[in-house]
Amino acid sequence: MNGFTRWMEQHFLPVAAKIGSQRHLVAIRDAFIGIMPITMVGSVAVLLNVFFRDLPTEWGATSFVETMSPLIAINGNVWFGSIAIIAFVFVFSLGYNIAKSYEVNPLAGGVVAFSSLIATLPQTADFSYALPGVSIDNLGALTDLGLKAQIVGENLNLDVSGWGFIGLNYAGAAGLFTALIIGLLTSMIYVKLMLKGIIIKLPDSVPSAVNKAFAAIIPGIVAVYVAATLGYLSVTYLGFSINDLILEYIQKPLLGLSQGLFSVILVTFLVQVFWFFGLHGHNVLAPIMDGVYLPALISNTEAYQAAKSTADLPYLWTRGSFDAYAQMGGSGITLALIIAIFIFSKRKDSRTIAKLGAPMGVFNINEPVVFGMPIVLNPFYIIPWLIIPPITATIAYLLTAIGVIPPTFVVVPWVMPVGIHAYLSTGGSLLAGLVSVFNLFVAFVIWSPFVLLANRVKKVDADEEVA
Amino acid sequence: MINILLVCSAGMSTSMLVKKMQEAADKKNIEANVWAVGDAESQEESKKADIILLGPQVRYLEAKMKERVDNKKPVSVIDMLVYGTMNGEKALDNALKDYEKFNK
Repeated sequence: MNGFTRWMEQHFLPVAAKIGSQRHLVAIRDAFIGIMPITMVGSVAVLLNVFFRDLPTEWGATSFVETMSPLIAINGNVWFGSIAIIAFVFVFSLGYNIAKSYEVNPLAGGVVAFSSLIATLPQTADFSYALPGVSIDNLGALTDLGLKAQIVGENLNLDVSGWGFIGLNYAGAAGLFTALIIGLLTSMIYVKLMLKGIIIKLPDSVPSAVNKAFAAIIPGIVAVYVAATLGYLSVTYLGFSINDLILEYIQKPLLGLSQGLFSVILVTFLVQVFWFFGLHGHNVLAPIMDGVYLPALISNTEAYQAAKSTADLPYLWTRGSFDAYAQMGGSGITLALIIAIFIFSKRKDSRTIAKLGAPMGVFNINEPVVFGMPIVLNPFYIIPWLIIPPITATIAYLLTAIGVIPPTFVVVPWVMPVGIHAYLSTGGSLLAGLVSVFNLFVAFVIWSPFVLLANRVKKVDADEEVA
Repeated sequence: MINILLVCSAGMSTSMLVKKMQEAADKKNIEANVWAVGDAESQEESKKADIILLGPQVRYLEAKMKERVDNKKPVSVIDMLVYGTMNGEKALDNALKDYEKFNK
């Protein structure tokens, strides 16, 4: 065991440390943290409409829904200003954080990244409108007038295209990866040029705020031009916008890959492995947890908003699912360990830590338990520590897959206590709340024998001290 | 007056230790200002600190943090057991010791 631990410390830890402090990954993580107010407010709006509109409609309380209609409309506006445009908010946050990490003007970094993303978007909208009651024989007459018309099935369609549109599907969860890639690329161009000093310098007598804005001009121009050119090339030579390309060839395959049971187990397991070495597993894995599973969560939010039902949500497992079913009381479901210690432990040290950790554990903060027991590098607790979250995740995954509980689709703060988190993140599914409580029980059953075993270990230690 | 900054991933569990450290300092009549932030805000905040303490779960930030303060301020990782038991007194003592050692 010691040899293994040493080997891991030498080879595994440096890699983890590198991931955890890699500049761009950290900036991506911080960018996701930065948009929390927006993901949250959008989720609140969706959740409120579940309780104001969807559930009452299901129960037949139509007069209540009618009374609530102003509130429902306001929630719709909030959703439009948050989840619906999440990629835009994110790209700004990303540009800001990248620039901040390199200590160049962060506000300009955010602005440049935002502008660059918009520069890659298709700007025209095409509509094909079936002309009611017009026979297809009139096609020639219409085209002679200079109108664009075509025959679609039995109808004569008039094609209209207009300029100056931004498609919401590029602004929401479907555009997140594009935002990530374009944002990363353009803000790096901006940052590198700034650092190389390819800027307009004004005399010192000019106020520093003006100077700052001028400095960003050339790097900003280059960055936005690169994005705009890429957008043009993509449409002209490939026939798709960059956004559609990235969505089709990167985002969808990645999200699809993340949805297998194996992927879910692997990620859950890795979080535990990192924590076993005392590293913040969620932080180190943030590029996957937030970069892949958060877009899945937001896609689900969007799909629910569109369909007002959980029947056809696109993703089974999202960022919220980990917190709802595999991290109650913190990584390793240590809330169950605390309960097991209160019931079975005869060790004073363990009971002290449990007492200290319980109030925080309720809100899923478990550093006192992880470092206090300690669980870190402790071979005694390694088995339950590593297997419990993958097992409980599997239970929830399978129950979601066969449709007993709906997938999570509401962003809920991770500090929500066990049961409540799952209840809210599934839009008020009582069963989901129960599943998460059941998972807590499963964790308790697995932790308990080790707590009992620890009672005996204490005696051995005491004997050694005497000797 | 000594300014002690604690950094962890979100500033949640550290904030509990902050309270205990501040209490310990007040009890001993040590003029100290202890506060905690998440990694994301630590860049700005590190400028105001005299010593920076990292939660053990983010100890991989040590090199980055040292670089950020140009090795002009002490950066240390809080002992795991001190952190786990939320021992404010010990954490404060260690911080003061590290601070003195660094400035010697």
